[in-house]
Amino acid sequence: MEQPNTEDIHSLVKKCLQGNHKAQYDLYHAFSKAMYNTCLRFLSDSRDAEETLQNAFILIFKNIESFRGDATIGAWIKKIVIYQCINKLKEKNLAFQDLNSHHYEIPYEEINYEQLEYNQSMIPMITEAVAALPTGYKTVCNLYLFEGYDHEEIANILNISVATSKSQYSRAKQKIRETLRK
Amino acid sequence: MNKIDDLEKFVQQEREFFDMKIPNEKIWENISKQVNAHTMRTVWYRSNLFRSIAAGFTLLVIGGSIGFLLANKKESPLWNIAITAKPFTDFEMVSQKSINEKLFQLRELNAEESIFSDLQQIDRSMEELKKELERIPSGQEKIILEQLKRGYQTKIDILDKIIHRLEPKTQKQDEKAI
Repeated sequence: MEQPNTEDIHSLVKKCLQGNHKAQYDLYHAFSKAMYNTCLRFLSDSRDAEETLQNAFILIFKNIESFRGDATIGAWIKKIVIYQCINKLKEKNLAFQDLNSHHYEIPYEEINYEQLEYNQSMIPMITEAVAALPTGYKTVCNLYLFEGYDHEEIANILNISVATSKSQYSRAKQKIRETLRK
Repeated sequence: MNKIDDLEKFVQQEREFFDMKIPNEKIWENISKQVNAHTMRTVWYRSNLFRSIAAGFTLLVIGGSIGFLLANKKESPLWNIAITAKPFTDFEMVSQKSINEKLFQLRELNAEESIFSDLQQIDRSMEELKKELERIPSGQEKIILEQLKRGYQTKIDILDKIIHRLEPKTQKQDEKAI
């Protein structure tokens, strides 16, 4: 489905508030594909991703009146989905031991990587490389690289330091590159 | 400011191609079921609350206009039977039979036509409640059934009181006639 424009979204949200089933369907379809792929990247398991997507959207529709419009509806939905993913990881005890270990508390530094030629055929390889990362690396990498959060926001979401977020991300990229070079 | 490296640049450029998996349609079905049960409960609660208030208001107005309803109100034996969870259809049948007999009695007592039209107001409120029964989610019928039972009971109470007021008057008129 084509992304609805701001006006459409406004009217969709308004209709969702009135319990309009068609509007709920349209809102779900506007964001479900992207959000499902987000869930998949965080959880690396299709069943968990489906369950999390489902729970997130139930939460979204049941609490849509709390959407104030200060952020876009997409950002609001994404935030709920991501928090659901993080809760799911915690529930599965895949929480971020590795994030909190001081072993990874290394200062972020620029590493001079050997340049790789990226092209579309590498998309599945990058996806797999990200999926194979340890939970801590993967979570930070997903938030920064795919969801567009900065390190300060990631530090707030995951309750870690900005330095940890940066070092985790740096190591994640290093690992992805190593995988791609193989 | 962080420098964007080749990997980040590539992901940014091709971002949409990383979102190629499609979620199962069943997810929407599950969401829809749960959200609509929630929405229906909310909407139904709101509408039912409104209708209940409206129905209650109608009963009070009628009771007030007839002048009997609120005075000396006691829970009658019939209502007690009702709340001992007798199936509603049984209760409805017994109540309706009782109402018909009392209406017949009222006609015999030459009650004013306005009393019958007031009683019809209660019937209309109860019809509304019956329609509501078909719309509410399964498992939520209890509240409506209880309101319907109260509706029947109120009608019986009103009829009893009208009959009680009319009977002595008629007897006195008969005595005078003799």
